[in-house]
Amino acid sequence: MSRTLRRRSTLAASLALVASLGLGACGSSDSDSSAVPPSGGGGGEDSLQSVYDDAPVADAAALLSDSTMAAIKERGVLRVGAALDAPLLSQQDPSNPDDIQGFDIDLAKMLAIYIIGEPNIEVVPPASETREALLQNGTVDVVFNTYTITEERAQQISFAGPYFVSGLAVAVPSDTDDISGIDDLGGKTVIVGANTPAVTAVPEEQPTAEVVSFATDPQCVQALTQGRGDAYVQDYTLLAADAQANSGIKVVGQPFTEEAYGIGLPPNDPDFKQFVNDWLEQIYADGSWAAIFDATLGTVGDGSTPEPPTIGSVPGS
Amino acid sequence: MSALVENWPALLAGLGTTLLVLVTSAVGALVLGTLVVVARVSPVPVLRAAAFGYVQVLVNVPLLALLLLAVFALPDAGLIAPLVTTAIVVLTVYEAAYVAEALRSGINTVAKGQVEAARALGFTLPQTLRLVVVPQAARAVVQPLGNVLIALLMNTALTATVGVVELTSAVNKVNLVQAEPIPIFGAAGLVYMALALVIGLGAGRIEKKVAIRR
Repeated sequence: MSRTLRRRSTLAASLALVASLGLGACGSSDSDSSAVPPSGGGGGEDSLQSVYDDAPVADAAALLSDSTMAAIKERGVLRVGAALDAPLLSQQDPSNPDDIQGFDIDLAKMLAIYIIGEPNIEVVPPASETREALLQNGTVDVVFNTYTITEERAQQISFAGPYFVSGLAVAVPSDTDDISGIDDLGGKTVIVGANTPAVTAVPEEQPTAEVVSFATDPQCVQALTQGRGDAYVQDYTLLAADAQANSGIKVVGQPFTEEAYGIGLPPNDPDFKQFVNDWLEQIYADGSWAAIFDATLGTVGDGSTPEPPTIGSVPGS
Repeated sequence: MSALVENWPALLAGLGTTLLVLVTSAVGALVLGTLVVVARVSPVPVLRAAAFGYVQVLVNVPLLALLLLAVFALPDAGLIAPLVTTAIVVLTVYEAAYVAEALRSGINTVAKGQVEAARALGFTLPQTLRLVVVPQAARAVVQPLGNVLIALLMNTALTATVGVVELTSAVNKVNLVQAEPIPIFGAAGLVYMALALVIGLGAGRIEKKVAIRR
């Protein structure tokens, strides 16, 4: 709290002091921090300003004439297909719709800086059923949406990256003792998020499990705590964030799949793909990828920063 | 297209759930809607007010909100039912309000003299409603009721958001793997269109069959 106060102007500091005298010590600082979910990530996101300031910008020569990137620079805004309700990845602040935070969105802003020089992005929200169509018809320039690279999808669109590797894990209600991982889910009712890799991964691992899908992550957590299913299978980082926020659930076992997330790009545009991959190499090398990870996904889990994945290391990328 | 052919068992199961939800909630909504409209035109002020309130509340709350409340809020109040059952109950209760409104417009077409004549002949109120008013009112609104049922069919797709694996949810899963949204959702749209056509044509035939020749 003292750190926050020091950064404010004297006027704001004295106002806060007056408020705390009147309302009790923690009143004003609580309302400040609640505007920046999740609590752990609040300070981390602020520290990204220096990353943005030092973000790489592409040479004019890299923006080939008549290319996709030149068109984006001309337009002055990068159109991004991204969710608005994914904690730590791409979460909109409901009281301030312009404020979207998370790993995916921060990377999208970095890409916008690389192309345009400014973090100008326009988010086209939840596109998960029709991401391929949005890329094919040019509604969005790129998709940052925990978009798992698969060969089927790569026939429809192109992928840059992978830019992050995660995996599916299992969460159960805190009072469950007989499930310690995916191997115990045979014959159980398993909750998954609609349009997540878990929809297909769970039947592959456990054909006898009954899969129930809900539209959003909060709905899945609610359904799990209400007993509509025995377990919830979802991305490990997302589950870790859920378990941190909700004492009613816990994550059991280690991730049982490897999901490589790619940046969705329009099909048949090798110049743009090469351009985005070059950018990824740069932010891997200069440490800004790691700084963004630490400020977002890194606020849950064991605190270590993973190595960035190797570009093109996955079939379809 | 091959994506749809390869996944036909899952899609057929989804279609089956759609039809199950459609038929059970259609029957439920027709029965409940008739009861509501009878209350709505009854001479008992309390029943009239209750039916009016029922219709106003349900017509003015989005179906998605009702579904989310029933699936996620009722369990906190200790009421938990399987997802398909919950969806059927919510759709029944919701569409009954629209059935009641359609029937009420039919009742308004029954001339006042008919009720007066029935009363003059010594019919009790239930007899008047059962033998004179409702049969004529229902005949007048066969097509509008068909439209309510088509709307109900489209509304079954909303249950996908609360975990019911019906047709929309099933094609969504296929699309997740195959990544061809336009042909896959287009095909699902055609199936919904065909079902709507069946309901619409069926309503047209019933209307002709039950029409009163004057």
